[in-house]
Amino acid sequence: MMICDDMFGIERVEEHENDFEKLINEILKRKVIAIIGLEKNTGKTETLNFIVKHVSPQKRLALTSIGTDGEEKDLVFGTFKPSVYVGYGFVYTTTELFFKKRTVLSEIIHVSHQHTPTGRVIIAKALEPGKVVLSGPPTAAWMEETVRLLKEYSDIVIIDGALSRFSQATPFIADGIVLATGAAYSLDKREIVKHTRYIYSLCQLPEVSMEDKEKLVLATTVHVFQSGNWKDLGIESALQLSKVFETSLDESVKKIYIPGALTDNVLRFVSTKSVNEIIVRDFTKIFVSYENYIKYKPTIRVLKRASIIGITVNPFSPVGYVLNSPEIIEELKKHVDVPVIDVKLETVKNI
Amino acid sequence: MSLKTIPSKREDFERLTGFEYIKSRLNPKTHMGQKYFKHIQPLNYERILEHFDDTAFVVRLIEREDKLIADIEHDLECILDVSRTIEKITNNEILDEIELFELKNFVLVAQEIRNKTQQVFSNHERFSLPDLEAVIDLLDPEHLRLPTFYIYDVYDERLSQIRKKKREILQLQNKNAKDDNLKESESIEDVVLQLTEQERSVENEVLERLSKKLWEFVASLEEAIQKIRYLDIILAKAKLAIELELSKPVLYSKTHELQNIQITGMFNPQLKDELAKRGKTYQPVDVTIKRGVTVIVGANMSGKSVVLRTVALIQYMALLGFFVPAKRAQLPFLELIALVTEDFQRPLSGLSSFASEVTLIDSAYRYSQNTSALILIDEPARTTNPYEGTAIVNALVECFEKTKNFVVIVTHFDDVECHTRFRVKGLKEDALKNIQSVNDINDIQELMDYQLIPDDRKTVPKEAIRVMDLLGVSKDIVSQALKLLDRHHREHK
Repeated sequence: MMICDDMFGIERVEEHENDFEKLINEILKRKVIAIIGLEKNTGKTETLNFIVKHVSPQKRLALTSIGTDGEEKDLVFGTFKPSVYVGYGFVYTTTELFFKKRTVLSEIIHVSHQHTPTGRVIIAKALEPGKVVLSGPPTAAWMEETVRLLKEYSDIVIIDGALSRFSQATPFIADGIVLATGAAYSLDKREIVKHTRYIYSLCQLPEVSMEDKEKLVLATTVHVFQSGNWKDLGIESALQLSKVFETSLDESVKKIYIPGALTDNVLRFVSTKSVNEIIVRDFTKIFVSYENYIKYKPTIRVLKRASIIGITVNPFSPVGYVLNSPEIIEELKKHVDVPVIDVKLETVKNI
Repeated sequence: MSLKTIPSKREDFERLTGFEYIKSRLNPKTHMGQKYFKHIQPLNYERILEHFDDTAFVVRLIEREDKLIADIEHDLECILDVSRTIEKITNNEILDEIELFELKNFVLVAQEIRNKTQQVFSNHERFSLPDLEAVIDLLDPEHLRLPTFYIYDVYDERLSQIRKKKREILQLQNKNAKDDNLKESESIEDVVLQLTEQERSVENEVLERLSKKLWEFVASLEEAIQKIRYLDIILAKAKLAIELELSKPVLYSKTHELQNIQITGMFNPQLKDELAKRGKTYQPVDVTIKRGVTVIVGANMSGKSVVLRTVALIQYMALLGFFVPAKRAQLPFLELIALVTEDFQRPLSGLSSFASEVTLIDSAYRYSQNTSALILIDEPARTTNPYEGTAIVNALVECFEKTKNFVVIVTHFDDVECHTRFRVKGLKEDALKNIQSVNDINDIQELMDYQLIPDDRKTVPKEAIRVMDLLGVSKDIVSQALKLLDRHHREHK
């Protein structure tokens, strides 16, 4: 790659380069990558285009997305523009509405039975380079099915995540996560670092024992571990938990498995009980605010650990501010053990 | 002419007869097949016989060629319902790429099914699919036989020119991008946009031409859909016949004037299934219904209602071209099936149970005056007093007798005059000797002999009191009832 020698010191650029190669190498090892953004305009699309650019010479790529990113607003104002670059032979998903308006010559490979608000999901292969609108299944289950199909036509599937919805990044679908963060989340550097670290730490939560995993992986109801056995409470939502606890549970419950969302309320309730370990499916089920997480310091384990393989930073805020990305990167790197890069910078450098 | 049912709402009738269960056990593979069974309609006589013959044929085939059948079923699962698309072609509408993609998928899979069925259904007109090779060639001009589609270059030579130019410019743009010449890249984008617009307009011409060309194939496409649907329906019926151990009935035409409905080894599939789950076996029964009225008497819990419902089910299934749950069945072709029985799902439908019951019976009576009918009435007037009740049932017997239709009336009333009487054999005497009481109502089933035997009216029914005794009802009540029964019987002699 080219060295950019103007506004940043040589040292920093070398460090970037190091991380940049590390990230690409990590991606090349995976089969399904999910990109999740902490906020709109945190550079998710840049991150996607950046990965595509550097991975496509070596691997056959498939691109998909949970729903259509920002579809409500952009559809209303009619300013929806294709933004994701595809090269020849890329497989991508879009929906009927966008497929009919596309400018890139594409071969239809598959059409879904189910409908999204913008029509059925179409899997297509680009027969020329250009920009397309990615659009895909809005639910994790349907996404899993779509990813299975996409794998047939590609080496690596990249899921462009919808905003602040991590469900598609579940480790049961994606084996690598790239986290996009930046000035759009906050103009306060510390806020960005704090939140990014929080998400990062959720991804690092340890897995349960193989034994517990086998017991719980197919469970769809709340289970508790009591006197050496897992007991099915027969309730799907942790919201009904207080009733069950009052009538049939006691101090001997040490572990609890919650198949649905772990929210602030559920955490607050469980924290008043003897339970010292909460088990969730994976980090995408945790909807606990940072403040409560710090307050209750719960011990949480997951059935499947997520693997963050890199963090990208977009220093540009949509309202025009530009943060000093090397500083953020430096600060983040003190706390995380994965490559951290500035996508905008990488994009600029590589043009 | 079509089949009328009582209750007239098909949904109610299908629930009462247990046809709902039959439907739930059907597993058609295509969307078209699913739709067919969901809104299933009775067939005419000739169609029914075709369905019987073809189901029998496929049942034998499944036994012989299970691997091939499994392959065909898999193909059927891949069939897309393109009837809407074909309608569009017929109406001279222009198809889009997605519709052409689906049509191409359809013809490829249909041709695959054709190849497979030809091996085993040779010369079988109703299963032989039309050759769709010409349609495939049209939608697969590159002869790749892949289930994908786009508007191929070969459809119009202008397309290959435009696309070639576009590719060259895009490559150029890629090269120039590094020079960061904004002006130039903008003008390139304009050129690409223009080319794309040209491409789009040629593509639209191609779509129009293709849609027109496809018009020539509408007949064979429609035939293909119709035959695939038929194959799916018959396969589902044959699989059901094997799973539920159904058999092919003999259905007599209207002109034949069949004198007896005769069913041997009759069973209720749903009940049999439920009993099997509890590790119990179902006792099949034989039924003969002569023209005129047949009266069936029998104890409580002796399965009289099940007999009525199952007879209705068998007759209904036969008229829909299904095999039936019996070893052998000899059935008439009919225009009315009436089943008047308690509907536990709709206990309060506005009218009192007596009112709704007599209304249904009356409509069956009126309708059966000039039509061929099977009328099954479960304990008419059971909710009224025995004096009037007996009179009502006797009136029903006399009036329905004149219609010369197949009529069965189940009753508890003693004084009903009818020349054809059956009763359920009832509690097994020898099994009863060793048993004082039962813990579970279900255990009484074990003690029952559900056979229907001619009733000579000599034996006094005591089964209800026996059942009370077995259930452990207070001895005072049971013995007093027995005493009164004996006295009543002596007085009447």
